[in-house]
Amino acid sequence: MPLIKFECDASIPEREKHCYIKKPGEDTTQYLPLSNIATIPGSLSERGCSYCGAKLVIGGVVKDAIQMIHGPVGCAYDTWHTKRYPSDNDNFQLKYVWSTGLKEKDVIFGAEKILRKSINEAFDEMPDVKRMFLYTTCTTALIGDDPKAVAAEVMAARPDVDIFVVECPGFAGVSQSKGHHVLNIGWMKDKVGTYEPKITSEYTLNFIGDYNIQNDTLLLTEYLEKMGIQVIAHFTGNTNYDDLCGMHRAKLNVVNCARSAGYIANELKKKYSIPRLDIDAWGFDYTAEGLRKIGAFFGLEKEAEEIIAEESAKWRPKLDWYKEKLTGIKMCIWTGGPRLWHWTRAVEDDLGIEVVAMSSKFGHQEDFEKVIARGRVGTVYIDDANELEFFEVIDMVKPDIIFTGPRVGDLVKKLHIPYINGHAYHNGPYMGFEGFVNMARDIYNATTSPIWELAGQDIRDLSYGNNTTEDIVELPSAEAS
Amino acid sequence: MTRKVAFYGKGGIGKSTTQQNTAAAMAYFYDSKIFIHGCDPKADSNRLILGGMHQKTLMDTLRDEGEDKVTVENVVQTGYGNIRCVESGGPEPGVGCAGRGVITAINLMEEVGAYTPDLDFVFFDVLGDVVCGGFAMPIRDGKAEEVYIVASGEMMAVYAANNICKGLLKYAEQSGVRLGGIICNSRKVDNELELMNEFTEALGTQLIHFVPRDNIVQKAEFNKKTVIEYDDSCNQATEYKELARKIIENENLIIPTPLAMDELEHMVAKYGLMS
Repeated sequence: MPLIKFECDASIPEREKHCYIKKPGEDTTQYLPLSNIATIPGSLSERGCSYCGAKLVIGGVVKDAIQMIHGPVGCAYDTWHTKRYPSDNDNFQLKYVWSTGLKEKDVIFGAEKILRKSINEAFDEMPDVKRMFLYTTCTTALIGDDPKAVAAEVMAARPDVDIFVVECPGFAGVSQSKGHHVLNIGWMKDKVGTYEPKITSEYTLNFIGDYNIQNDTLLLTEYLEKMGIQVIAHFTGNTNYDDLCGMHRAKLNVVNCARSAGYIANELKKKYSIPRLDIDAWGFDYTAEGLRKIGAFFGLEKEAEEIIAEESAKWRPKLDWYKEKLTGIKMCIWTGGPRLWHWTRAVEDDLGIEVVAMSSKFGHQEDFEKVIARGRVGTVYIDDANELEFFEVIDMVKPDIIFTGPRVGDLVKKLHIPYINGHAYHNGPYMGFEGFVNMARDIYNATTSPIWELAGQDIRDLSYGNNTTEDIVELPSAEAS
Repeated sequence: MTRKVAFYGKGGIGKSTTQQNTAAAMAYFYDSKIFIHGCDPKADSNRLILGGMHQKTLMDTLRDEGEDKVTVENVVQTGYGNIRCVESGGPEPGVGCAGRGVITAINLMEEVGAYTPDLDFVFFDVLGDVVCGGFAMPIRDGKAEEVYIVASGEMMAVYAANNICKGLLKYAEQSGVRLGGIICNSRKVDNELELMNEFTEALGTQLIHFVPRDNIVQKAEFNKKTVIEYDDSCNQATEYKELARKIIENENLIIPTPLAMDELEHMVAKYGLMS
């Protein structure tokens, strides 16, 4: 029976249909965990809300726009400084967030006046910034405010500004995923096609579904530009607002994160006939494969091989050094969804690491099909795992390293298991050739750190200042890396 | 080009009755293709067209089966005169947020492409008291561009109509919605016609039709039919046929000039004293 009934889920037995262990000889037509449905009450879920999916994940990455949150101040505050996507615009989008600071009277009497005032104030305070993302939240969605109308008014009065309105209240959908969808479709409908980019190469593409975590985007763009390719728009890592409006001019859409941004790639295909090419931007072999595919599309095979050769010469020896040390290490991936299927085979092929348990917060059926196809037999695959299930999984699979968010990471630290920030990395970037070496280094440092053994020692008998030489712990000698 | 029309007016004044009878007349006498979107949690905007209450409202479907199951096939029913009908539905009295229900319902219908370009008219039947932003959803940008207010010569109905005009002013700026006229659903009040004429003139609009009171409307309703279906040759059917024609041909679309309270009181008192 490939479904797992965890002990902690005794009072919520519906969880069984979301927890799957891959047995030999099975395929995904027989069993697929339920996914992308309402969170089960009683389950300590890791999911976030739809507004978060729109603002924190995608919209907030744009480097030259004011992020105006129409709602009480909490929605703005709690999605600020919680993701690591720098930019070459002096990290403008990391430093600031704006809120209309809704109060009770605004809920009762309508909040369009305060919205109009806030938008104008924001543009006045920052006279060099001419673009804005405007988000509704639960409150403003309930009171029937019409932010599009207010935005249109302001744009009419200030012809040099442009505002994109995202109506994605937290209560919509079942997770962050709804917010991705709303933003993708909205951007396609309202903004794509409103800007004509300057074309500087006959090879043009959009890179879709990468958000410049710790400079991933800059690294990938380097490879592409070396090949002579012009990236029209990066959706949305380190991007300008206007560049994103020019996506219709690319000849190819390369998609990394199909979950959060596959939607706009599909819309661009429908409306502008731009083909969609899915790749994995993490993983040594995967990156090479991705560049080869892009090269094949444009007839730039030679250029692709040059980059692959150059990068391999630089980074393969280091990767192999780590592979030797990390082979047989057991890893868990508990993140949003796509990194499960991006990483599970890559860490195995490139580093000899076995992924033994995975959980997806908001993945859809498609994500489970992909991860179960690429993943190992005997591995645990869970949709929307709750924290108590995590503890039981740890007992089952005994991992050496867990890639997850800091909240769960701090939990597993108490079990003396190292974690690495699966959403925003420890020491990234993690994409591309160099990135996978960084990831390997972080895994190596985490799993060989003496702190885990030290943490398990009982020091209550050692009184301060009265240590004898027998009490001193011999540290292992540091190895050159 | 499809004309999207919203009907507002005091609760109980006869919006749904007027609207359904007008739609039936348009379909029967003028071959119009109509879509009626009921925006009232009571879900009774289509009873006469469908010969009974709607099977499943949009909100019920959303709640019980999920967003994916809100499709044209599932929630839109076709009735008399090939008129397509959908009911937003919404919460029971005293709970939840009906306004948000209207917003969600209209968004969903747009998403699934229910308002097809072959339609001559889309009617939004909005509940009587426009108490929050949600009920103004039908007159936001891209939706209804014409509003008809159903009223009668009774004080409360006239007050309500005037109030609705104040709301319309705000949206007239933002979304371009215009008032097409006042429909008087007669209550046989003394001096009703005179009052309505003066009122509508003061608003800057027209009394597009004075629908007389006639028991046959109730008889037909009792039989879950519009008058047109019940007896297409009766006088009332002709009245609705006239109203239908006037709306089809109407080009008098204005931004209303609502009256101040004391102006309105004075006017109503004048006609009250005259009897």
